[in-house]
Amino acid sequence: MPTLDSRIPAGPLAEKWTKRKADMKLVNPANKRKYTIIVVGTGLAGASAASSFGELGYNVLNFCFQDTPRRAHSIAAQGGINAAKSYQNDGDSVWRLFYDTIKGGDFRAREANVYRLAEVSNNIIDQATAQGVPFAREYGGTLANRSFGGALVSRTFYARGQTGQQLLIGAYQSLMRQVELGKVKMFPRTEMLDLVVIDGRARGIVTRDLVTGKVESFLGDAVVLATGGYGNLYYLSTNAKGSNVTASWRAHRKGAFFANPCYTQIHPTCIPRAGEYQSKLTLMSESLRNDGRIWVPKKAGDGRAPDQIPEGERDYYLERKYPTYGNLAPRDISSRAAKQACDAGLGVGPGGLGVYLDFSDSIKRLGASAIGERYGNLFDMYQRITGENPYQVPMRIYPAVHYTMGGLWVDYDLMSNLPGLFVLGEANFSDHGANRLGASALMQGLADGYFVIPYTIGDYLARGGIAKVGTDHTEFKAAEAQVNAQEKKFLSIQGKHTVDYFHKKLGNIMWENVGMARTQESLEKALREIPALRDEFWQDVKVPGIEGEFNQELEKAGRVADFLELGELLATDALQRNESCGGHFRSEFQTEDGEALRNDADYAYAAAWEWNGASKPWTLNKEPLVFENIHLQTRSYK
Amino acid sequence: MRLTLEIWRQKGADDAGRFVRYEHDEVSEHMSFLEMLDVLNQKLIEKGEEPVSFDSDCREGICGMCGFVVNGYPHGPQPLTTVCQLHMRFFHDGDVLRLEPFRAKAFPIIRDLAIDRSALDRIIMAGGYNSINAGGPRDANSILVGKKEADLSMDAAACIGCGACVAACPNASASLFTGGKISHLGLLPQGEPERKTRALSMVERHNTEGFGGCTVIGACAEACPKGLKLDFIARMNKDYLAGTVTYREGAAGGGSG
Amino acid sequence: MSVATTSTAAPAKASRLSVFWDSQVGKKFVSAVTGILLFVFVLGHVLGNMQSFQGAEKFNAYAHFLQTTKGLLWMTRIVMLTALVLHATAGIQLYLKARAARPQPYRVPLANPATVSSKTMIWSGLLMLAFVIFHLLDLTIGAAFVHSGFVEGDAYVNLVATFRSVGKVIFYGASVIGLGLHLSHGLYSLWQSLGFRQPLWTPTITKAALLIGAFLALAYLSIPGGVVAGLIR
Repeated sequence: MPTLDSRIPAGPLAEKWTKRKADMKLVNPANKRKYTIIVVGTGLAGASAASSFGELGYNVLNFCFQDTPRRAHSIAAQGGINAAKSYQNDGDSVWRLFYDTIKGGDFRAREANVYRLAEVSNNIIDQATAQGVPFAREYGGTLANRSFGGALVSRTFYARGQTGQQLLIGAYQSLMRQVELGKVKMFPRTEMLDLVVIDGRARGIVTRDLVTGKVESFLGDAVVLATGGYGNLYYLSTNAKGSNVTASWRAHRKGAFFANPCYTQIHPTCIPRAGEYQSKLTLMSESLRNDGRIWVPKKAGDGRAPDQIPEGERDYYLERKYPTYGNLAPRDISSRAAKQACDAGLGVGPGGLGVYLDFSDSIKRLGASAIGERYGNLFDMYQRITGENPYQVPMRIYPAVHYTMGGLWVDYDLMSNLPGLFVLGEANFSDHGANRLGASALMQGLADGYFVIPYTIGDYLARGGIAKVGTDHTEFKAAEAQVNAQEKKFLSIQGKHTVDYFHKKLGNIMWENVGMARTQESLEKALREIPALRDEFWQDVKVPGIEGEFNQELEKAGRVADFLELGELLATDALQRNESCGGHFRSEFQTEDGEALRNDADYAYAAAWEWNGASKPWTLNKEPLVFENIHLQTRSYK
Repeated sequence: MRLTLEIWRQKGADDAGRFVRYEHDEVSEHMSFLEMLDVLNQKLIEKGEEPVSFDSDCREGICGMCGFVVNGYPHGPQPLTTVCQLHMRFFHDGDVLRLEPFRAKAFPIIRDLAIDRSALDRIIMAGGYNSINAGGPRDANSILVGKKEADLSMDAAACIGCGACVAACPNASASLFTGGKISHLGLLPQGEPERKTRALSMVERHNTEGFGGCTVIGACAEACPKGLKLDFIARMNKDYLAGTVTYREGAAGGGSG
Repeated sequence: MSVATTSTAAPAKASRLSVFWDSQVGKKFVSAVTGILLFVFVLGHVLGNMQSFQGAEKFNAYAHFLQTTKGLLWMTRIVMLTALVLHATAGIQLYLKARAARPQPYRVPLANPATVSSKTMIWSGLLMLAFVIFHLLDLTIGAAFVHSGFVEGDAYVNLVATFRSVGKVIFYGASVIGLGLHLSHGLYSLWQSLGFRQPLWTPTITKAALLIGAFLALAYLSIPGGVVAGLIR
């Protein structure tokens, strides 16, 4: 059995990354062009990694399923990106950002990784600014900051409500520069469908050209997955329609461990669902909580319009329960509080699945134009979707699946247990523990791509031992054959129900049983229902068209097939973790006042699951989490 | 409500294509336009027909992947709205909606309403960036940017690369797209060193990709879901003209810096 | 589709002028500069010719002055002809390029909010081009197949004769209305083509272009109007 060596450097926390970099073997600059690196995904992590590799002189093959790399879903991140610049003179520091992040993650992340993340956070702001990312500015010309959930300092940099878009465009532009220079070869509308492992090392991928249907193999000296999270397992989430787990999952089936899948983040401020046909949920940036107050009526079933409910009959429950953080309590806590309010019948809007996010006080205090300046585009979006004007009527919000902290297991160098397979950004499990704080996903994606992987991949390549093979190797041929066979199988079933039908059913099982609050009972129910649904899918799915053409249903079929396996693993992971922490809340494990009850004695480990073949149970490998620098405590945002 | 849809169906670039009529009676006013098409597609698949191909990804109006023409309007008649964010409450029972792909020589049709917009990527490749490598930039606050310039730059940077400007332009010009990028970078001190060469090389690439020229009609700005202004095209022209006058290398070298 | 890269090898170095002319921006620049020259001409032309309201003597004296000031005459002719050729060539080429940029037209016409003038530049331009040729034959050269009974040196008589012909008045009228339309877009868009457009000034320029276009069309129409009304005879 492969061992789980996290390869964290010895020494004081603040010197680990410096030491690691000093110990790395380097690739001779003249030799870099002899190496080919495959990068899958073009979000913040993928685009920044691919462009950085190109800048260093490596040959890069970069893949994305969208029509251009600029579409990757990092683009939808709204609020901002954290950095420990302490420009606001409010006492911020690398240590404080590190501490906030690891505490926000409910002490289920590696100290060393999180510290490194905080350390390089400042470089990201410098880098993005140099690229021309139009961050918000003060009148004096300096960068503006705002505060964000889970922090008491203003360390979040932002570009209106489109920070993710601007950071991604920055990375995309750098990537396009490398494509023009010929260092990166770009493959849009191309989906990775298998990982090829030769002599124990990741050596390539098998892809499908989504326009022509052509299945093809690509060889590399290393494979980097930056393919995002698996939130779409729940069908309805804030992810893009195309977001999927397929690249990670196929790598998992080839031996890469999948860690902590049960850590799923439910974002508190999303627009509630409107009907059965709903295709996705739309997030309203958490930054809205800076100026919006969250409340529900005190009386269950209060049917009055919000402005008819007097102050005294409103429950500003976050401010009441968490006086220090108030409306800025971390996401998991805010989401659960909303669910509790709705479960108690206090919810507002259709089906009682919503709470108010009210800006009237801020508009009174600052004026509508100041609020418009800060959130104008979000208010417009809300109005477009719901037909209601949030300047006049409080927004209605409800939690939705947003981000997945779990992902493929990686060591300190971001390499999975399969040598040569590196995993970046949301696709890995490493930095956010059991819950991610706002404005730190962008930070992690870019830290991994710009400032970690360019060093660590060089070390891997420089250590040598990578055999010379070609795409005619039997492993490539076998993987191609498997991909082709699966497509033929999908098209041959010709059952009664569409792919979406099964996806919605799966999403429903997951949301009801493995959602915001989980119990042993609900998880066992999910573990009965998911395999049954999977069997039904493989017997009764209907995929139209043929494989050798642009066939969007065929694309979806492969992704849903993988979700149907992941769902089972997620429930399995949630069932073994007999504690509540961050995005994993087991109703059996809570304090008297309903807060998550961690069990550090038994569960301070990362659960890395090993695939043993279809319909065989997974093997659980544990990586103990060692905390040398901080004291584990119960998270309190009161 | 009930709608009649006439949708452009085309198997591939070589197929002639035609409108096909669908009666859709399961439309809710709360649906987005694409959800309305999702529902249609589910019905088509169940009936054993080929679903309508169209691109979309984020469905939040920010990724720029969706887009087709509804009754002559790119992204539909609602201003500042991508078609994924267009909701059916803006239509009426009994409406006839005719959906066509964005049409331009530079945007070959892949299938039905899905098109290939990689020409826009190639315009960016020609110089839509600051030529800096990762690592070792100076402290972000050492570059001061006035709030007005930063805001205007952000206005230009808001482009989502959807191609609606090309679709709306009677000349099929991508000038608003190109001018947006040239303005976004050129308005910031960080982008100043390459301001003129960038304009030269991006404008040249715009031409070789087969887009038409700008004749200041203004349809692009009307169609732009992110509200980019015609002024950005003026800025492109200015930088291009300044570059022509002052740069000896001309259009060939600007992008590869 | 595998790659976003097309061959990006640097093309053989073309001269800077031809790169400039080939680019849409360069062409529009030329179009704007020559447009300004042509505008100055049509403005001067109509103001000068409105002297016809002051009677034959005054008008013929003015015509005689122009005819005999050879330096000014030929310089104007050369500059205007060059401007006209460049302006028309740029306009036609931009139009053809635009046509080529959308080989498959929309089956449902675009619901463009654009002004009529902006969408009809090529047609108003071609109309004027045809008219200019006709106009030169008619009143400058006095070609017999266009203007029988042309009197060399009596511009006033020739002018009156032309505007007594219904066909010529209709052609003339259509062309100067085309001129008004053309200018109402041209005078607005040239600021953009020269790179000077500013949000602060755009509304003023838009209005001014419309007013100047309308004024010129009316000024030109006043001359045949004068003939019809009997003020010029």
